[in-house]
Amino acid sequence: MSGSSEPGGFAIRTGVREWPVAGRAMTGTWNRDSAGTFVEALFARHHGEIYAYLLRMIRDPELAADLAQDAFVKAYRAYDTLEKGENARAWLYQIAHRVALDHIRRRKIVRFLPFTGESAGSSPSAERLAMDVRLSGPLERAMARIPERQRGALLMAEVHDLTGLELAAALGISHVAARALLTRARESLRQALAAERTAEAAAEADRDAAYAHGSERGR
Amino acid sequence: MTLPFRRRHNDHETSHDRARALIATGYLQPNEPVDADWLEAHLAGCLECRNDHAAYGADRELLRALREHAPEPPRDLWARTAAAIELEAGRRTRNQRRGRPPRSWRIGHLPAGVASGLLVVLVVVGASLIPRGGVQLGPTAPAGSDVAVGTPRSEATPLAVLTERLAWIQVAEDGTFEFRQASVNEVCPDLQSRCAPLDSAMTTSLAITQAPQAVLMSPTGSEIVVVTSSGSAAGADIVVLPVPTVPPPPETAAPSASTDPSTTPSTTLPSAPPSAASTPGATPTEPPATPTPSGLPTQSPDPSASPDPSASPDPSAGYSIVTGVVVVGDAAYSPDGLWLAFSARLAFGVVGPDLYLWRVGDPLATAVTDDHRTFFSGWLGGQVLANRVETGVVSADPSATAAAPTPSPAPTLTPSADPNATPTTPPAVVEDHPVAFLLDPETLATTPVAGTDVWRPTVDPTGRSVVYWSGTLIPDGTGTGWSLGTGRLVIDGWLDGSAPPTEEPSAKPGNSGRPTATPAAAVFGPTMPVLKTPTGAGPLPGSTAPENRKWERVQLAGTRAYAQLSDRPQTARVLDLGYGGVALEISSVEELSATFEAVLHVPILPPVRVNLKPLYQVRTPSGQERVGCAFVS
Repeated sequence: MSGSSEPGGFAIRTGVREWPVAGRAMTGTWNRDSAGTFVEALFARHHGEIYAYLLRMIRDPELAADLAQDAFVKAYRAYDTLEKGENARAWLYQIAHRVALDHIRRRKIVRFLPFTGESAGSSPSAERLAMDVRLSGPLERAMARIPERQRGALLMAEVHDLTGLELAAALGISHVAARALLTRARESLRQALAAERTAEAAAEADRDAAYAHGSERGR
Repeated sequence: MTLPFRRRHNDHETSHDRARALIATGYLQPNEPVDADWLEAHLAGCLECRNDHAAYGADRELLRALREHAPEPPRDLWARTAAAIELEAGRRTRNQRRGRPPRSWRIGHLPAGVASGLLVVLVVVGASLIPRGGVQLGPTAPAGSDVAVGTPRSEATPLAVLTERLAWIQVAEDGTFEFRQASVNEVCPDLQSRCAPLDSAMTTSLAITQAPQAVLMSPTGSEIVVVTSSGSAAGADIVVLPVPTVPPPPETAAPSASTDPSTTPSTTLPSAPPSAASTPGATPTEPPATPTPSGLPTQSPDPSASPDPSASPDPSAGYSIVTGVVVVGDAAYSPDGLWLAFSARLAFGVVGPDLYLWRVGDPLATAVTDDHRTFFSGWLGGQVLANRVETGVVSADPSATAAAPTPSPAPTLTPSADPNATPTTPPAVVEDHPVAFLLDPETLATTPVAGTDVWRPTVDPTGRSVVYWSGTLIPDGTGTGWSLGTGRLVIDGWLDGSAPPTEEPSAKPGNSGRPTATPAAAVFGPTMPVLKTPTGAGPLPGSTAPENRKWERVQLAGTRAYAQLSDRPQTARVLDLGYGGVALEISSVEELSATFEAVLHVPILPPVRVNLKPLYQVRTPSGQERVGCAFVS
C-alpha cells in the first residue's frame, strides 16, 4: 500500500513505518526542505538495493558507493520530476541505471588501472579478497560480458524484483521494448555462461595437465 | 485453398524465437493463455527449445541466488551522501538568489530534444505562412477591386528602435566637415517618410579642411577630440570641441513637412582655437607654437614654452591642445574620461615620439617623457600602459662583429647623410628592445611590467589576458620610429599587481610641477604586474591563436607526470591534463599513429590507460615535440 498520508503529500511504504513527504512534486515546484526529506526517506528505504545494483553493474565497491551517492544527489536535484509517489522506486532505479551507464561509457574512454603504489610484499585485505571472490564467479564474469543495458535489465528483473512496468520505467522504454530487451538479455547470459564454463573447463584441463607434467618431472 | 498466412522459409526459426521469447517473458509475467498453450505444444515437440527452457530456468536460479548475498553498503554512505546533498542545496540556493534557472535536463515539462523538435516545426510552419514577398509591416493592402477605390497611397512606416544617441562626422554641402549627433528613436527608409528631421542644432562645424586622422568622443560625452590629418608639413593638431547637449528624443515622432533633414545648421559652434599660433591652417614655415616638446628634452614640459596661458580655453569654443606634431598610434581617453593620452613626435625634427597626457579642462597637453622613444599603448584602469624602446645593437650577421651595443638613446636612428654612400662593412641589423610600463597620470609614478621585449601590450577588459608583440624592434631608418623585428604576436596571461605603483626614483619634477618620468630606470619589484610567461616568450609557436578550451587544464610541467606509450619503449612527459585530453612532450612524433594507447602516470591519480588521438603538435624550445591529444574511446 502506498498512498497519501496527508493532503498534498504522499508516503513511501517501508514495511516498518511510513515516510511522509508533504507538499512534494504535486505542485511541480522544487522545495529544499521537501526534497531533503524526500531523498532521506528514499535513501533509508532503498540505499541498500541501489548500492547492490550499482555494485553488480560496476563490480567495484568503492565506485559503486560513489555512484550511489551520485544517484541520490541526482534524485534530490530532480525531485520535482517524479510525478507519482508510488513510482519512486522505479524512478530511483532509472536514475541509478543512467548513472551506471554514464560511468561505463566514460570508463570506455578512460580506464584507471589498479593502484600500484603498494609495496611488493603487501597483500590485499581480507575484505577485498572476499569481495573479489564474490564478484568474480562464473555468473559475475558472464554478466560482465553481456551488454550493459541487458545486464541492468536482468539485474533489475531477477535480482531486484522489479515488475514489468517498473522495469520499463526504470529503463526508460516501453513495456514491450523492456520485454524484448529482457529476452535478449537471457539469451546473452545463456551464451556468456556457456562460454565461461567452456573457458573454465579448459583452464582446469590446463592445470591438470601442468600438474601431471610437474609430477612426472618430480619423479 | 488459401492458407491463413504464407509459409516462409524461416518459419521454423521464427517459431523457436517465439518460444524463447515466451519462455523469457514468462518469467517476468504469466503469458496469455493462448501463448502459453502454443508454447506448451511447441516445447513438447522441440528438444532444442526444451533445453533452452531448462537453461533459462537454471540461469534464473543462479541470478536469484544473488539475492541471498546482498552486499553491505559502506557505513558512511549516508554521511557522504548527506554532505553532497547539502552542497547541492547550497549551490541551488545561491543560484535561486542570483535568478539562475535550476540545472535540469528538461525544458519545462518537455525533454530538450522534444522541445527543440517542436521549435523547428514552429519555425518551418511559421516560415511557410509568411508571404514570399517578405513581411509587410505597413497597413495591409486591400485585395481585388478594392484597390481602385481611392485607397491612400501606401508609404513606409517609421520603425521604432531603441533610443540611441548617435554621433558622426559628415561632409557638408560646402565641403566643410561637421560633427552631428542625435538621439534616434525611429528610422525611416527615405526622406519622404514621416520620421522627424534631425535637430540641426546638434551640429558642430569642424574647422578642418582635410579628413581628420581620428575623432574621439569623451566617455563623459562633454567634448570631442579631433586629431587632424598629419599629412601636411605643419603636422597635426589635436583640437578639443565642446559637444552640445542632446535633448531627449520626443515621445512620438511628429509628422513633418520637411523633406531634407540635412538642412543647414542653424547654429554653428566656433571652432577657432584660442590662439592664432595653434590654428590648424597656420603657415607651415612658422615654427609650431609649442606646448609640444621640441628636440631638446628639457623643453617639453615647460609651460613657458606653451602658448599664452592666459588664453584660457573658451568652454564654448574649440581649441588646440597640441599643434605641430605627428600623432603616433591612437589617442585614447581614460575610462573615467578625465585624461587623454597619446604619443606624438614633432613634425619638425628627426626624433621619436614621447608620451603626452592631457587632463580634461587643461589648456594644453603635456609631454611627460622626453626620451623620444616612448609609445602610448593603452589604458589599464586609471593607468597608462606605455612602451619605451631600449636601444641596442644585436648583429644578426655573425660577420658583422663591429656592431656593438649602443647605449646612446638614439644614436642609431639617424640615417646616413649621403644616401649614395656605400657601406664598407656588412650592415649590422640593429635590434632594439621594448620595455612596457604603467604610468599613473596623476603622480607620473611608473610601474614596470615584468617581461622583456613586450611591445604594445593590450590587456583585455577582464584583466586576465594580454596581447603583445614579443620580440625586438628595428629602427625604420627615418630616425623617428621602429618597425617590428624578430618575434611573434602572442596572447599571454596577465597578473595584475595589486600594490600601488612604486615611485620612480629617477622621476624629476619638471617645470610644470609634475615629475618627469624616466621609465628607463624602472626597477622590477614584487608588486609589479607580470605576464604569466615572465620571459615574455609567450605561448609556443603555432599556438598564437586564442585557445578556447571547454575544460580547465591542470599544468603538470615540472612534476614527474609521464606517459608510457604502448607503441614505443621510451616515455613521454605529461605537460598538462584536462577532462578532454592531455598534452605530451615527445622526442619524435614520426611514428605516432592516428590513435594510440598510453598509460598516464600522474601524481595523486593511479595509473590510467587511455586511448589518445593526436590533434596538434608544436616544437618546444628544447627541441621536443609538444603533442596535444584528445581522449577517445
